[in-house]
Amino acid sequence: MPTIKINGRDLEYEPGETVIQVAHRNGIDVAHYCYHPSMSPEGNCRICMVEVEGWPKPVVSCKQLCGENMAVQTESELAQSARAGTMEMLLVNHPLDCPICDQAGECHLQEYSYELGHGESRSTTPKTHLPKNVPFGEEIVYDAERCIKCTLCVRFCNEITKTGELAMANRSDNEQVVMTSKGEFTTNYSMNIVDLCPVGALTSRDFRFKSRLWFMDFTPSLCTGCARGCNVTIGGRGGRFMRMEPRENQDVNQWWMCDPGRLGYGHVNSETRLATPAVRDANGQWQPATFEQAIVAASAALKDARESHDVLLDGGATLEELEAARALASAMGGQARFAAATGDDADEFLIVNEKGANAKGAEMLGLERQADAAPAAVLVVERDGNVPAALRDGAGAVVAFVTDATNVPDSVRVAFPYGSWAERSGLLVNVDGRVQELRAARQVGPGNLSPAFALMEELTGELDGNHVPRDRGELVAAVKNEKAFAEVAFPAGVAAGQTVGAGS
Amino acid sequence: MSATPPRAPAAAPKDVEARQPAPTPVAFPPAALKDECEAILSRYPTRQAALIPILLLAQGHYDNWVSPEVEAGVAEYIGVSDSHVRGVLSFYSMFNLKPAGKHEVWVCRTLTCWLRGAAKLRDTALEKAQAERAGVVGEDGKFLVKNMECLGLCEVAPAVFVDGVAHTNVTNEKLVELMDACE
Repeated sequence: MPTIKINGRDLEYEPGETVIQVAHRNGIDVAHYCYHPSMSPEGNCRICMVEVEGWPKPVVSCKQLCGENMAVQTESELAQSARAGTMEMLLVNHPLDCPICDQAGECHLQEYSYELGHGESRSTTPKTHLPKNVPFGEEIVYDAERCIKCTLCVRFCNEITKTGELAMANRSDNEQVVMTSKGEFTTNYSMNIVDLCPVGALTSRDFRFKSRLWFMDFTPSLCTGCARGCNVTIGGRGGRFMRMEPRENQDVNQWWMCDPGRLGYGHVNSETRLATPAVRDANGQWQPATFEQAIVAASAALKDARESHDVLLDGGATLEELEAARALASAMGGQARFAAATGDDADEFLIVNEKGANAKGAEMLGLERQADAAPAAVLVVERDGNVPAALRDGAGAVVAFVTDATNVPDSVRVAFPYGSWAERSGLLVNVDGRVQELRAARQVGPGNLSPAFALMEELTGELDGNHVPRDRGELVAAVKNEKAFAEVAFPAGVAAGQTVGAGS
Repeated sequence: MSATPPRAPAAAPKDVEARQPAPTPVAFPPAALKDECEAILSRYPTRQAALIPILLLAQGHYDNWVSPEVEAGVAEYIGVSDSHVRGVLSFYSMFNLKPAGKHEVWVCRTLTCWLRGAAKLRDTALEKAQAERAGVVGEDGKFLVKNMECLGLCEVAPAVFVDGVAHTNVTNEKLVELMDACE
């Protein structure tokens, strides 16, 4: 394979690769705004300029193809002065309103400005004023003054979604992004342009002005809006779910996620979250209880249960919870089933019709899918959509694990708080049979939740004297021993003995 | 039961500009332009490539300017989004996005013409047109004076176009004469 020299290192490249691709693949940082590996290089921001030895001028590394015997310097005096000059040019009309900008803290312009820029502008001309609060669809707001015209959002709509809502209008310092006069995106993926935007020009109306980034905690996890299992980063602060952004995984979601998934966290921040276990007293009134009291009350209630000995789980329940539920059901002499919503909004990109994030895993474990109301003694409900009211009320359950207190049916005598997907750790099997790890996000949810699988294991122990409650590692090991999982790769790092489940 | 998960309510839109209602596209092409449009399209490998000649044709037909309605109509005809058409229209200075005057005076403002006194020409033209600044139609609606980038006549600067006709080595007196000649 031919090689190119970058900063003195001989690096192999495929013919047709650009300098920035080879540099990034080998861990050499090259500053960039308008370059994104998924789209055609535009070369308009000029910040990625590097020096090629023997060439008279610096070149943009995002468009420069690698060639034999090329020697590239990314940190030479010429390259650095080219970048500094570009930064100065980009900042001529940028308002530098970082103190009130949502992007501050994750803004590439801010980072490079700090690194390369001057403390003061040398320009004496007043800055150009452009529209600052332009709505792009329902969820996005555009600020043309902050915009550095990298055209990533325009290319995203042209090349990735192929819907072409955005275009560049006007010229020079009046240049700005304009949207089609219909004012709506026809794609379900529009909010990815907010993540793509290297500056604070595109902000999400859902998240803007809610929190500074440095007050938030970020956890790599998964989206459970459908069974695709897009890899995401969840940002939380003080018990609130603040936002979710896609995390690159070329095998699942590339760099993207859909808007319904991104915004589908309403139930996490619900005002009616069940935060502590609750037990009905003799008068039928709910009383808060400790987990120990609730376990005792629940096992008594389950021993009394006549109508059914089954467990009905939300299609988003983790493999650990499914395995614990199977043991619980068999201790009662029943079986575990699951319920999950099915949509009709699948597309050829990411969204799939199966809305049970772990429906595939449940099927692989041999759980039956339940569509109509049927009796069950134990209910596990996170999303209304997966276990709708008809199924909840029709089960006649006596014990419920619920995320939202309003989802507790009248028949229930003991209710346990059940973390939303953002607060639970565990394994999910996506629609393609890929096992991925859900991680409880820090600073999300009411906190102090016991993992549902641990509670179910304790309940099983109460009902069956011979059962020793298993920890997370043992539950995962039990799943791995299942025939259906014999050939399946599991993510590394879920060690035996690990009991951590709920976050905060 | 909804197939998609519940959405968090979007923040109140008080800080965001109101969206303009979408224009109603004109039926494009009008009967008078139909043959010509089809002839233009047949000259290009893709419909999108014919956008500029068709826009020029449309501008000539609709009172020398391209309204949002015409823009949307052309976009539908070509098969691109109207934001793309807006991008093209706003990039090229020979397109008018606002109602234009009866006559158009283009004054070159690029280096050579500027050094040879184009600034003075522009001021003369504006005064004659009774217009506040370039790009705005004069009070009587007779003239639209526009600043143009290089008109390609540097060797005979300064250059002025009046209604699409080039005039070179223009002096103030000559410009007044030219504008007086306009009906």
